[in-house]
Amino acid sequence: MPIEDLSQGVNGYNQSLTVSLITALRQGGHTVLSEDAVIDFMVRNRIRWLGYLDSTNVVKLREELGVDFILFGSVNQLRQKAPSAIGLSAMLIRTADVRMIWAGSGELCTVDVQHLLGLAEPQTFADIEAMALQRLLAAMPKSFTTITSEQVQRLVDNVSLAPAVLRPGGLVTCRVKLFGSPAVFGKRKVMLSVGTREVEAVFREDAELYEAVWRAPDNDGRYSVTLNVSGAGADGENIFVGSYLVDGTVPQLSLQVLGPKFKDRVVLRDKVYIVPILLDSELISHWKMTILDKDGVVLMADHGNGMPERLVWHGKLADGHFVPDGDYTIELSAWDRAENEVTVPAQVQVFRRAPELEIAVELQDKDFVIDLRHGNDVPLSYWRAEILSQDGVVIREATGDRLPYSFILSSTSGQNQGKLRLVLVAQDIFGGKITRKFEDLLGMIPQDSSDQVEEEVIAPEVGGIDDF
Amino acid sequence: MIFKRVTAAVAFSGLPRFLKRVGLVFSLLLMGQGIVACVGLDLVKDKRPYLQEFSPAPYGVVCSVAVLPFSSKTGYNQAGRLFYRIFMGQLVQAGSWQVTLEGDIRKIYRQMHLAPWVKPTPEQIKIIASRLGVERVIGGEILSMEEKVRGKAVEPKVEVRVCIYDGSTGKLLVATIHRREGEEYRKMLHFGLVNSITGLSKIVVQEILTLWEKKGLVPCLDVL
Repeated sequence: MPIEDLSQGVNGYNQSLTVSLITALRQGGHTVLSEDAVIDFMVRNRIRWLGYLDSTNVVKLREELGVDFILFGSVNQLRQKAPSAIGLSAMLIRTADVRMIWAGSGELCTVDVQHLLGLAEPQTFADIEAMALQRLLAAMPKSFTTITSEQVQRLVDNVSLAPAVLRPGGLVTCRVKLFGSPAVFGKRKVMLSVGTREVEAVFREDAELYEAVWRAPDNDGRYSVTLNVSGAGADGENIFVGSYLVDGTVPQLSLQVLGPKFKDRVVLRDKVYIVPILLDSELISHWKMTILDKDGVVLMADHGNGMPERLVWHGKLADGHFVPDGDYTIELSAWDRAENEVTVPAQVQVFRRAPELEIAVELQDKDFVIDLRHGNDVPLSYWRAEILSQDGVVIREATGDRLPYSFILSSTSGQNQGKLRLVLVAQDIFGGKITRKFEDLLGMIPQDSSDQVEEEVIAPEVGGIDDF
Repeated sequence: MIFKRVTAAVAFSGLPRFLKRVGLVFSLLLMGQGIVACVGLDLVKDKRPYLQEFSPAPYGVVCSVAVLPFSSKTGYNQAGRLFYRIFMGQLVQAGSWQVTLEGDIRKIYRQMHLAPWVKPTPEQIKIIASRLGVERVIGGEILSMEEKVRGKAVEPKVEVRVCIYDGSTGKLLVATIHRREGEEYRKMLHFGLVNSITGLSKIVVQEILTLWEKKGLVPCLDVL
């Protein structure tokens, strides 16, 4: 067979060594097939790999070309640069019983051969290539025992058992392809042992294989399948084919949505992390996540294989638009390898509004009373108010984490500084932030403040900048 | 000049010259003894290849074996296949084994959708052994393989882990870890040096098989 050259990567071919080997074997008195005949055989049988053959092709090679022995060779190492090195290995297979009867390896480096005064030392790669091949062939026995009668080969060429995991009562299929000539096909009895049951495989002429189909038992567990072939020369040896798992148990899944909580509900402002937790160590085949609004309408869905460690929802629809504030349900469905389904819901509230700040300014006894209020019930993380003069000098500042809050500014300080500016910054516990600027604080005083003492005064939007 | 000064210093130390010489000879003897002891200790410590047994002996008479493709954790080109070919060659040479063809193993790997670099599960090993009709399955991985060329000198290094599995159960019986460098075989000057990765791999395999033979793991091994 053509010599494989591992130094050239996967499926490399060394033609010069193949030719040298053929020549050397012929000189040794062996009858060697021509390179073309071997390549023709490889093409006919779609053999695309060098260095090895399976039993079926070994038998074919004997039947088609009358070959008694096959010699496989491979170049394991090849370094042309100094110090040059080569490593060879060879295996001889007797085709009659498909048995490896000899194998050897040889290697040589230019520095391995050092003689007195440097005489007759190999210098180049070509020198050691020839020497290594000679050494390998010298190690090979001169004659081999030839077997004339063909011995019994392995019975099973291919077996498939599917599916690997299924629900109780599902169908299991086992297909068995046997070695041998078509004359014995169908004359053999192929039995499958499944637990305590025996199932006979039926020969299918169209596919030239045996097939058995049976229902999985109702009880969960792993069931082994053993094959037994008898008749037409087969000795009834048991062959372990594999096993399948019957699984009727729904996966135990829990869902944890990570985000800030308000009134026992997870709030989404920027994003929430959805963490699936498998309560039993079962492999998940695939999953699907669905977002539903409060009416149960599906807004978006996503799916994938396996089970991710976590999922993230940014509060967007599939088209990228943000969903409006409100209550939503996240549903995560998961299927195990036997298609047992589990669905777990979780509630989330989308809340993106900024803090709603209200301001009222009153004149009381020649002093200004500034009253700050918060419009909704979401607690604030912090707020800060600064009153600045027309020149940008901070006259008064206040800070805190709760509203309402009132503070008094003496009327004299205000009159001396001209127009007063108010800068108000607040952030709620979800990260919603607002900055409002009022260019003329004193201009916000109602004309007749005595009539509106008991009323809430809502700050006008004039000069206000929302930057959330 | 310096020598003279040192001599003078010794003369002034008050100790007679002959005592100094006796002391020197004694020191040399002690040093030599130390070196011998160290080398001896090193030889005693060197228990390579290292064998880890996962199942109690005896392992029974076994004469059919399948060698699975070796996976490689190194960047060395085709390290797994290189070591595989050498291992197969040495195994066949080592005794009257019935070694499964590489082609049959690769065919079953394809049928089972197993990649050659993936370690099979015990059930997969059991299936492979049963399909191929072998009693033992050998598999392993190349932990490191490198060959440094410095001028005319070559420094090969090989580290492997080779395991024997019971074909009837798929369970791991023994694991052997072995590490060698070409320099370790130097006898004198350049003599004994191993100058190629294939040559070193061959020696590593021979040493592993010798250990297995001693432990009675592979009774079919005739002569190594």
